[in-house]
Amino acid sequence: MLAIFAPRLIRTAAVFVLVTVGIFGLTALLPGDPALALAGENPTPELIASIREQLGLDRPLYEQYFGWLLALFSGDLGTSLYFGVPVGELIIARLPVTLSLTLVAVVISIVLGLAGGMVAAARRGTIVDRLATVLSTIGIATPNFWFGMIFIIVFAFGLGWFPAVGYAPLADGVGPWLAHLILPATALALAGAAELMRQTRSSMTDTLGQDYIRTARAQGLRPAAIYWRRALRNASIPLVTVVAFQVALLLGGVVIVEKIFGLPGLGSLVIDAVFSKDLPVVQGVVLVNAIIVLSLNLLTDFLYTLLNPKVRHG
Amino acid sequence: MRKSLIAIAAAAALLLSGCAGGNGDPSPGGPPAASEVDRDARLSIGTLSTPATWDAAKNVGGPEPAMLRLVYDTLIEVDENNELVGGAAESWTTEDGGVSYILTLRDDIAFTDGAPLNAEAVKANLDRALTLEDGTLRASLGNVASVDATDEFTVTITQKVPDVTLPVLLTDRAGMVMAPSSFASGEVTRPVGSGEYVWVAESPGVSVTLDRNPDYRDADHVLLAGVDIRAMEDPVARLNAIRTKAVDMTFVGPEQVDEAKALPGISSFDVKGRSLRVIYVNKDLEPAFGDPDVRMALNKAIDREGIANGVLFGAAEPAYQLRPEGGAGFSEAFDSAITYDPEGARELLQKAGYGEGLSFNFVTQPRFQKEAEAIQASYSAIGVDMTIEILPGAGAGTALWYDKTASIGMANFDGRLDIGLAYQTFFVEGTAYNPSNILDEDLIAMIGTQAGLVDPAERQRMHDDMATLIATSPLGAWPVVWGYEPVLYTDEVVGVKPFQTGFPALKGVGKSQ
Repeated sequence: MLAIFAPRLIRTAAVFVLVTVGIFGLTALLPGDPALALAGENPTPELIASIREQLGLDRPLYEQYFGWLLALFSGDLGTSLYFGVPVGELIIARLPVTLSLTLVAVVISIVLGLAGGMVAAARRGTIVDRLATVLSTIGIATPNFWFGMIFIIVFAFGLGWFPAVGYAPLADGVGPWLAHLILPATALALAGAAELMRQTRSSMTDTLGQDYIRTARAQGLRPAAIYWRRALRNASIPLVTVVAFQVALLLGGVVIVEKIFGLPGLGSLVIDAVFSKDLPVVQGVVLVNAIIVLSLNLLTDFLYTLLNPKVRHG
Repeated sequence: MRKSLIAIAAAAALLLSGCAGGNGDPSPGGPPAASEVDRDARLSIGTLSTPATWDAAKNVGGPEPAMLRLVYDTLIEVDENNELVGGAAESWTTEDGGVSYILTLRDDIAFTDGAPLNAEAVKANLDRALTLEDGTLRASLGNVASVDATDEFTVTITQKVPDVTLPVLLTDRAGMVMAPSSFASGEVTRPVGSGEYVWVAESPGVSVTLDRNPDYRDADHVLLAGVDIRAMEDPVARLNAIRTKAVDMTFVGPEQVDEAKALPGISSFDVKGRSLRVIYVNKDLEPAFGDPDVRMALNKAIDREGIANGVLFGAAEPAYQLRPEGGAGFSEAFDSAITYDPEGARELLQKAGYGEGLSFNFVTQPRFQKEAEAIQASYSAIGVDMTIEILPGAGAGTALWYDKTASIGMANFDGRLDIGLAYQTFFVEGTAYNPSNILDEDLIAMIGTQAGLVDPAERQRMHDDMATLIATSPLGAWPVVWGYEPVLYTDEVVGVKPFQTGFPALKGVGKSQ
């Protein structure tokens, strides 16, 4: 296993370094001077220069980059220019919101996607299959914020079943926590569920056409057993990659949903930081996102190796 | 003596008086009766963000001082009628025409750490604000020469030149009194004041929890057990929050006004005078802007009514002065040559030698993109080719005022406590908001003179002349529209007054039983 993973770890480390260069370089290109944003009304040029010096913004970019990188390795993501508190603190405070939202969205996505895909595969060629195709197209084509607004109108304003805005931490109880997440998570999940539904249908259709499935039917195995115990396991191997990809997309897609639903997560944090040119926060959040995605890729490779003996014995 | 002081101070008073709107009007008179309110109730508020810093000497202003005022006393306060009233200082006087002010403090105020709010504490705050290297108040307090603790509860502030606007400055961050223990280490990590509420906890950018200060000097006006501030940057999210009663009080943007005011069980009032869209020009980058005829032409071409009603859905008013209509310092006796007149604009451009047209790049913030597009269309009608460049964050301001890479653009002006300060901000030599020093000597002389006028009527007459001047001969900063901030609150919230000092202002506010 080590022989399989060592090259992957090295590649991941190299990608990580490239990502840090990209993050730092792109944020440095953002227009506007953060020192000006911090200087208040009618500041003097001397005040602005003083702020720039205090924040290290007067140093050459390469010096700022290496200083930032070295601090990263000691776990220091810097200090928020806007709030004056460690970036790590801000991220830790917001991470549970985004992770909760993403987790619930992933679960919804998997449940809807797998179920829909399996039904469509089992009923392929019928009106059920066609309906599933239409629904998946709608799900992929429709922006998640549109779904979010519709859900708010129907389920929050109209029916009053769920709150329209806000977040309740898990410490307040599973009920309130879930109630605040259902609408935004569903809005976020639908595109992924639609994509997963198509992939599942395709993968299941291929698998169900295999000889061993025909043999299992001939042996009199019940359809449910064929689907769950024989077909799904093999059909799910490519789906692991799709789900991992979906999680990465979800993490990026939370930004607008968090804004619409007033969720204090990383998406809201990074958007506000971009507008206030709070560079350390932008860099920190994007970096954390990148680490999560890179870790997911590694985990996906690992799961793939476990599920697919061909990869293990290579 | 006190009445004359208030009269003087009223001449230097703050922004507009508010006007109530929506389903219900804010409450007149005193606070609600004790039997009407639930003293154990907490108020949930939706705001744009939490304060970037609770350090009054470093806070950048804008919407944040209103939240700081919940925790800190100010030396002088502004009531709902825009009158200056005593705060931590029960009275103030000048005996030398505005050179020095003597403030008499109340002798019964203590910070929540137990230390007394006395003259030494006030001096420590002001001295710090004057000398803090990265402080944001040094410019506005630039005329203060010294601060002395004359006795235990008397503070004397001496200025370099007479300036009657000092009491107005002391209603905002400059007058906020933090407990000296809170900045003894240099940084304010936890706010300690003597205001209506005590800071309890905070998640930066997310929420702030405040509890009632049981020892507040005016306990009859603190009717809530506490305040929970929730940051919601998106105005639609704030509208949804008040609609579903997830918050008790919030404010929205112009696009949400009509919908918000139609909500059942929701009342509102408008905070005016806190958001002026201003066009700034730099003649050094575009010589055409050095020609008064070109400046007048470009002003005449703008349909301010159209922007206020069409782009901002009526939650705005055309701006020709540095005050919205009805605000303290607004000139009723006002003669403006800036009327919407595209034909006249075209003729002026012809006269100035730009009959063949003019073209330039116009920078602005994302929130003013629609206003910029409306202006672009207006300019196109008179043969002016304007390209819009949207710069996020402080980008537009940086390009206009500091880097000076933009010859024209629009940025926000969040008002000044005194209209004289507003004129100083835009029209004197060397100020950042006049990047190419487009000056009028008469105006500069009037700005200097009005700062020392004690008689309110005389000062107002001079403000009338100043308003007429900038509307007759536009200079480097052109007011376009005043945007309103509609404040919304549920019917459970009682005692709301139309304070124009910003949102939230909770003196006398409670929740019904």
